[in-house]
Amino acid sequence: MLIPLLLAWTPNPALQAAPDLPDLYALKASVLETGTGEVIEHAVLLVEGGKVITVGEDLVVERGIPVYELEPNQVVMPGLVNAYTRVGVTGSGPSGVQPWMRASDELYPAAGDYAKAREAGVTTLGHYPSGNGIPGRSVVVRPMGASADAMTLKDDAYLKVIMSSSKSAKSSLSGGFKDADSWIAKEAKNKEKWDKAKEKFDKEDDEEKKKKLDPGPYKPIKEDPKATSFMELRDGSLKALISVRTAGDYLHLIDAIGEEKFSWDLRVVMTRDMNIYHVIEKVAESGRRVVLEPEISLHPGTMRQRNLPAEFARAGTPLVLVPRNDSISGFEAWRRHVGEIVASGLDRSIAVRAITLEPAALLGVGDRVGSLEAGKDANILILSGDPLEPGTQVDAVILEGALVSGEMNL
Amino acid sequence: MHIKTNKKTGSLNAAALFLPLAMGLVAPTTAQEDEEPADEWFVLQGGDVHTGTGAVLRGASVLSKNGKIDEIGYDLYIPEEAEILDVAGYRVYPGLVAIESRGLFGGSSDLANSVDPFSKNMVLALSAGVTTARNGSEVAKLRAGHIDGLVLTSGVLPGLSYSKSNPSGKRTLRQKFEVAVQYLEVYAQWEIDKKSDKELKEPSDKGVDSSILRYLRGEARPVFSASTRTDLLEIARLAQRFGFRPIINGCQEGWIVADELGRAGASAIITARDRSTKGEELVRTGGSSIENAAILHRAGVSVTIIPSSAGISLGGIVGRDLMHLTIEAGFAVRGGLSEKAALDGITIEPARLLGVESRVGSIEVGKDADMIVTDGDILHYQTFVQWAVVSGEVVYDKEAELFFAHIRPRPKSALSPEERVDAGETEDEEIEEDSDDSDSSDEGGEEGDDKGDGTFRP
Amino acid sequence: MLAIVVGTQEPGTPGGGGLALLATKALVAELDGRQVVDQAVVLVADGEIEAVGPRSELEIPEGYVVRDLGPYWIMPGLVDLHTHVSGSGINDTVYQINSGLRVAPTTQPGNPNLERALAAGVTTVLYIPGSGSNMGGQGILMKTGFKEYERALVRDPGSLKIAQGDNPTRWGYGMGRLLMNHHLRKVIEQGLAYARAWDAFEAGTGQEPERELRLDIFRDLAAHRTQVSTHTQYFQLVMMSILMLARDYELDVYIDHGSFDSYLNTDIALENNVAAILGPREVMWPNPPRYRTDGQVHGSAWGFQQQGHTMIGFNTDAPVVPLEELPLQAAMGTRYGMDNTTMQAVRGLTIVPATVAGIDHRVGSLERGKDADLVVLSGDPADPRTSIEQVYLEGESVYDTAQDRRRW
Repeated sequence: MLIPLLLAWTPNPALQAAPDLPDLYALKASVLETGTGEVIEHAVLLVEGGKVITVGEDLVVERGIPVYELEPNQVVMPGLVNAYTRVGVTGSGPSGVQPWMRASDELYPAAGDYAKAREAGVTTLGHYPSGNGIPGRSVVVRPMGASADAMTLKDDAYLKVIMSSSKSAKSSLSGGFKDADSWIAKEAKNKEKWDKAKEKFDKEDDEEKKKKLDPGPYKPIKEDPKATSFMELRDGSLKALISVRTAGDYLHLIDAIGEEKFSWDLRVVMTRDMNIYHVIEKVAESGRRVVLEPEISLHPGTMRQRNLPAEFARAGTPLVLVPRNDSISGFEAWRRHVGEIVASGLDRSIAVRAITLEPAALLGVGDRVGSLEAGKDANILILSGDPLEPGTQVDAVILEGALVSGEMNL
Repeated sequence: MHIKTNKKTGSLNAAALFLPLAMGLVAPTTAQEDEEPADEWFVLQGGDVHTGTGAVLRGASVLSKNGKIDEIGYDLYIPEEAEILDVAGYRVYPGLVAIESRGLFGGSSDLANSVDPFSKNMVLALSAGVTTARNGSEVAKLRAGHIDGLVLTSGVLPGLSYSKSNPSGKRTLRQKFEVAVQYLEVYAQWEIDKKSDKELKEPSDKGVDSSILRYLRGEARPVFSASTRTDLLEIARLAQRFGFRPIINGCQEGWIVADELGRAGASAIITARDRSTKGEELVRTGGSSIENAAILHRAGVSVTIIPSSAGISLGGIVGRDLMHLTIEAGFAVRGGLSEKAALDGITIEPARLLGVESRVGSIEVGKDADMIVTDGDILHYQTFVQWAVVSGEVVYDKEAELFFAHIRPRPKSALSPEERVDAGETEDEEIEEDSDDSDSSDEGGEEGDDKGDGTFRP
Repeated sequence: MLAIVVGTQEPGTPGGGGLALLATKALVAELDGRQVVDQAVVLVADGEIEAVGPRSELEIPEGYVVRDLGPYWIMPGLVDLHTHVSGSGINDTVYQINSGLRVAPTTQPGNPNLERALAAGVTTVLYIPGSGSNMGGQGILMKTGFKEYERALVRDPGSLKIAQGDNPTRWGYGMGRLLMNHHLRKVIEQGLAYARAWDAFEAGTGQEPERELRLDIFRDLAAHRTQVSTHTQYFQLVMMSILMLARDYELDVYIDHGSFDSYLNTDIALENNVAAILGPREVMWPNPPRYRTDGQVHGSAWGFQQQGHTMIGFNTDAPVVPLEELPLQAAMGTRYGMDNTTMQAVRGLTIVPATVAGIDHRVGSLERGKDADLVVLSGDPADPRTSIEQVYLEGESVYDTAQDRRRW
């Protein structure tokens, strides 16, 4: 425990005051990526109170509003959203089935990595809990704020589930729902018992006897956090992000889910030669999002390159791309890596959406971040050029309207 | 040549749904009538069908419905929605059954929950014609691409040990058998007595080995791993004394005591090329023999064949692993086993030992539509499996996989292979034709004397 | 042990009168000539093949004993140039370079492995030291079916065994391929100088050199009276076998134990007139990125043949695979892509190895004057189902399933 304590003594960049930007200002850029896939040329973006007020082509800006006119080469895009990261949080939790655990309990606002994440243009992070099995729930944070609460955009964003071709993994999932069923049955029995007692109590006229019969206020049976989590999955208040490696894992996942209905997305762990392509059509039919890394894999047994993200996208699957390496340097290389798979066939607008709006939607914060649209947080990157070109630098980062990295001049 | 209809995914299809309803074949269920799946029809059309247990039907078709063989023969009525695979000029055999296997399914045990239905080894085993294999105590089908409908049974081949090297174990086992036999006698008496005395209490089976009871009642057969004549004889005698049918794995010196094993109703699991490493002496009676399978078979011992390595070996040495199951069967033929018995030894005989003969092991109406289509005699070393069909679905296609597609590629012409042979276009096809000629043995006699001729001509 | 007198009274053997064998098919297996004779007669006299031809054309001389083999075929005995089972104790690894060691004293003629090999039709083998050391020593070429060393011996030295594979590196010291090749070059250069010195002395132009047992083998090598047989396997090793031994030192060398992707050297093998004897690891499974077959399974024989090589043979490396499975190596070569429409598999088991070992004047095909080492069999020799019924060595019946227990 020594090291975190020491870290706590160092000046915390997250706590330092952001350079001043006015409350109301406009940005003028020759190119603006909205994050939805749309590109606006000669764009004007109006920010007030940390929110995007309006964005459009050649809008007229009222006199008096400060206008930041960007260089012709500079491109504006929404802050990047990394839906699957542990950069900034440390420690490791035990594996197993503990869907009540929360990554938010691991938050450490003073972590130096948050400043670096901002510099790399990542303005929203979905932290997942460490561990195998069903280790807990993720939390969505902004890389800024003095306290866990101040950082948190949304807790319980998704339940992390690791699925594999094994009985234990499958029964972790199906067993959770069974636990929920048996809890519900027990609770129903408990309620029934109380109801009967109450009925008897209500019917009794004799005050003396009535006193003895009083069942008191209804007391539900003890909450089972595991059962509760799976009930949350069922009622839609919690969703799952389920990781698989192989096509076989996916079939076992579908088998484990059975008739159960709940909201989930898929994450495919990238390996060198992977066989998930066998089920691309099936995945596309399911309509689930797929989280992948911007990586070229090899067709098994060959040196034939496969652009699986592109294949998934072509099949109609909504795509989320996360950095190849979950580290600051991985964040820095992220856009370039996405550019590589765009060069080899992934649709460009899907690619941009896959690092902004789509992960935001996966995290359940798509109404707040991930795109530059009216009403959303003003999380803005100002880049030295095309976001997906190698060599393009992050010139400035605006988080909820405030300049958190780089420089801006009127 | 490979015609597919549009109902691949089994997704809802209005015509397919309403047709059976209209015909009154399917009673509409209340809640889920829109989920009633359409029948899945599949046809292997026009191949030479080696049924395994029955005749060889030249140019016949096998129709499968929902994964089961529905009809075999000529001029079958083919439903319009059927998926048709034209295999004219090719041969159709039952899918091979591996009495033992390692690493085909990805998973280790509990295959329903751990199988990797896309594993390389499964594809390679299918390429060798294996469509059913034992994996530990489970028997499963190589249903590539699926995780359901794969495990046929479990708890197979319970092992027993009865060997000279463990005298106390022998005594214990004999005692167990004696206890069980006594119990069965008491039980039989009770069954008689209770007719007159309804109150008579059923004798307790406490202390009686339940699996041995099953062997004695003929409900299961134990498997012994034994190779020396001494052990084999002892097992044969044990079996005869107590009245059960042993399965013997290894059985290297079985050829010396074949008659005794035959009398004991034994079955043998044999590696035709087995070589005894201990006490080997070629001039005296003893050790292994290439004739083992043949001699045992002649003595009435059913013979199942398995290579020395039951896995898929990718180390470069070929011809000795499960991918070459048919090669092992070929070596049994070398020792005098008939080609029919050799094929049985990798199809129906192992299916029987595993208790799955009602599902797989031969091409018969009502059995699973598990078949392989080859470009020649299944026991010829040059023959490749072109397609493997499991549960009425193509799960392996040589041309669609990278491994062997470049080796003697399937002709791409619109003509059927048979027509091409007539045109005399390629050398390879001539080979096919020659092998066909030699095949008369399958219908008539036992021995294929005219085999193997045909890889070259003067 | 009964003493067996040379010149039994069996027909076909020296002193035994002539023998005529009638077969449905004779696989002649000439290197570039006749391959098959249907309804054939093979004439044998004095332990040698006298003539082979169709019954309709070839007259059987008077007094010859005629044996009608009925439906069976007849072919020359098979030759395996990479075996270790004619004896034991053949891996001396005190030194890495053992050019003076000879396997001859370890030989056990008539041992069970050889008996079984004979029953598989394998009549001639090169028995060589193991690959535990860099240069293992001198092998011998021998017949499998004779129980007396002197009769069994075809040639000593049968070869100089070199191991370039990874096996010698297992014996410690951290030796790698670089040092192995350095060792080899050093001793070969010494040896060739030694041979030249002797040549000079014998031509009267030099001093008598001091005898060195270790280097004597190089006199045979320099005169091309024997060959180098290499434990070589995949691409890099085979390349060094060819470039160093054949090109640089002009030794008679053949790729022995060729495996995996060795065929990528076909060009230089052809340039340097090096034959490819393959087995038993004769298939390369797709293994990117080291081996890029685009997912295909590549047979070594297929590869050599694709690129125009015709001198392709097979070996077992027994006991790695049993010696009796030599024909299976050809079957597998064929299965995994080698074209066999003109009997390539049969030649790869007979005349090709006989030629590269320099004993084709004695064995390898059914040609006049060669040893009457004959195999009577039920069909295609590569087919596992084919049974071997009789084997003759130098005209003498040494295995006959009518009398002997079938050994294979």
